Amino acid sequence: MSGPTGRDEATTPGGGATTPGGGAAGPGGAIYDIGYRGYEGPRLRRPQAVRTLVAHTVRGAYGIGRGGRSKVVPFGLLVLLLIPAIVSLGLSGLVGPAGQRFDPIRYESYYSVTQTILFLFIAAQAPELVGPDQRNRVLPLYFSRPILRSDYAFAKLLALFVALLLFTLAPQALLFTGRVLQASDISTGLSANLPDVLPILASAIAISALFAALGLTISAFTPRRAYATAVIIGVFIASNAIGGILYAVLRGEARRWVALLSIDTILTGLTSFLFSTPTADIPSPIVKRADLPGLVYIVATLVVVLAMVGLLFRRYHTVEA
Amino acid sequence: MPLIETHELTKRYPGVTALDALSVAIEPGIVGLVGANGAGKSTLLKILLGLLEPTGGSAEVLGMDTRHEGTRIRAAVGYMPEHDCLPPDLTATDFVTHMGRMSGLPAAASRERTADVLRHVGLYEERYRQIGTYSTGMKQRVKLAQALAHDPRVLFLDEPTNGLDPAGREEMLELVRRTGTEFGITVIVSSHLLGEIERVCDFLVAIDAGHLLRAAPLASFTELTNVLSVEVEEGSDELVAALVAGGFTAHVDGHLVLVAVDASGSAGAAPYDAVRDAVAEMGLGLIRIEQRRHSLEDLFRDAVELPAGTAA
Repeated sequence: MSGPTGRDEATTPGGGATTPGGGAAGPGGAIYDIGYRGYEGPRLRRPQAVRTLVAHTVRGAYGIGRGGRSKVVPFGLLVLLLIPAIVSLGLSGLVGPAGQRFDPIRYESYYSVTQTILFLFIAAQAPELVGPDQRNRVLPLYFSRPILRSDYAFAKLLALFVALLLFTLAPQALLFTGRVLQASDISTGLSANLPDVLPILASAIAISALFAALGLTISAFTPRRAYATAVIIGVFIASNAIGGILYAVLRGEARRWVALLSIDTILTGLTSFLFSTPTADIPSPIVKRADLPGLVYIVATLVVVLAMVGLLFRRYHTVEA
Repeated sequence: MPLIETHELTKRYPGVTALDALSVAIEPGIVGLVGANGAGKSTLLKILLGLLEPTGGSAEVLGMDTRHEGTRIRAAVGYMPEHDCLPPDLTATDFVTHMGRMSGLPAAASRERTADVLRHVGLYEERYRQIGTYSTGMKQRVKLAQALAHDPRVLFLDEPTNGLDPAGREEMLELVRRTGTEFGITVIVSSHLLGEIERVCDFLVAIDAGHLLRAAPLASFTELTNVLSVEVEEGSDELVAALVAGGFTAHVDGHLVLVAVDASGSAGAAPYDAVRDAVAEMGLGLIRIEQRRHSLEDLFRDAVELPAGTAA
């Protein structure tokens, strides 16, 4: 993919006076040509540009490479996110691993405990990834690069997904490491905790994909950060409120499907399914009562993600450059 | 094959026709794209980059079709937009390096070229500062640098002197000139200021309201016209009367008398002789007699100054 492609013609359009490397070493030292130098090296293709944009954007999501103030929100939220894991590990350190049975902080419950923090991360950072490019009109510079508009949209989405995945996995990774180290010996710890790794990964991927698609698509429609943040929070709260109201109003079979109306219940249903949580332990009464098959939540997540991605690509196909 | 070629290129927006069946061929060099604001200059550049889809017609850049080979064209072209387009919270070095990589350069090569092009555009220590702290002139330089980052074969500069003070304009024009002549990169530079653009270009494309007015080497824009301009101290009207009586086409324009000369020049010195004789006969004070040159402004001057058949 990234092989040297070079230029079609043999000569630099720059012509004579300049040579790549720009210097000639003579016996008395080096003479450097500080005139314009052409570039004769490899020119990489679209996948490389997408990788560059993903890396640039993931760094941007955490404020890396930007001013110090840009790091406050993401790292502040990350600390908040880690606190339950740290407290849990501290307690089981004091009480001993037996206390874990009564600990509300478990792999499968981490999402329901910390979902607000995840959500704040999206509401705060998703607009930062795409808004400034429109606000500062950098978008035409991206679109005048050898990429497609869809490459830009895809790279931004992938970047937010990766940033969110790191964010979601960080406390789980901490919890996992702590649990394994706190066990009487490592192999006991691993055998007790390894079965949870797959559900941890699967639920983190689902949560990150849903939140990233939702947050980025909403953000892509406005250059204004405040609007995007407000709409993201609005969608989350409104969908929960509508779900809650309908749950209170409806009776019978229809009431079960209310679980698919809010982002929160979809993700709670999905994580509960992935971790095989007993119905009695499901943190949401709506999801508990619905008792829908896990596949339904997987399909619901996919539908929301695909719909959002479709909207996102449409937006960048038509946005003015 | 020309570097850039358009055929009947048309771009319509609801209620506005930005480009109207524009056909033009552009050869390598420094090319001025000149026209009033709203004449369609930016639209043309965006279509050539494949950023905008034309409503009709076609365009090729470096032999590649803008509709289907946009990414290949953009790999070989650098673009400096008219408007602000820089993120305030990155340093010039970080931003230009990033843009170089987006254009396909490997990371190390992009860093190296960024240092080169930033030095070329005249940014030194300030390149490690956030762009938000820059003056307009420095921002224009960063915009030019990001367009040069990947060593393009063609540069599209859209109103590069916009917003600059007179000294800044001079420096930017000098940069454009050097980029075109020393680097051998073909530069298409748009401007609504004729006086500015004629100083750096060797080819001029003039468009007005989406139409091509003229595309020709700069020199031909200022070549001799078929008009003899005569200035006398007084008695312009009498001179015209005498010339018309002698079979010449002449009229008064302000304090000048304009006399048509044969387009082919085969009439030779006849009009000169007639003016000389008439002036001597009437005893007028002759101040000046010269064949008029086109001025660039003539392109955009709708009013026809001379009776039909005498204009160049």
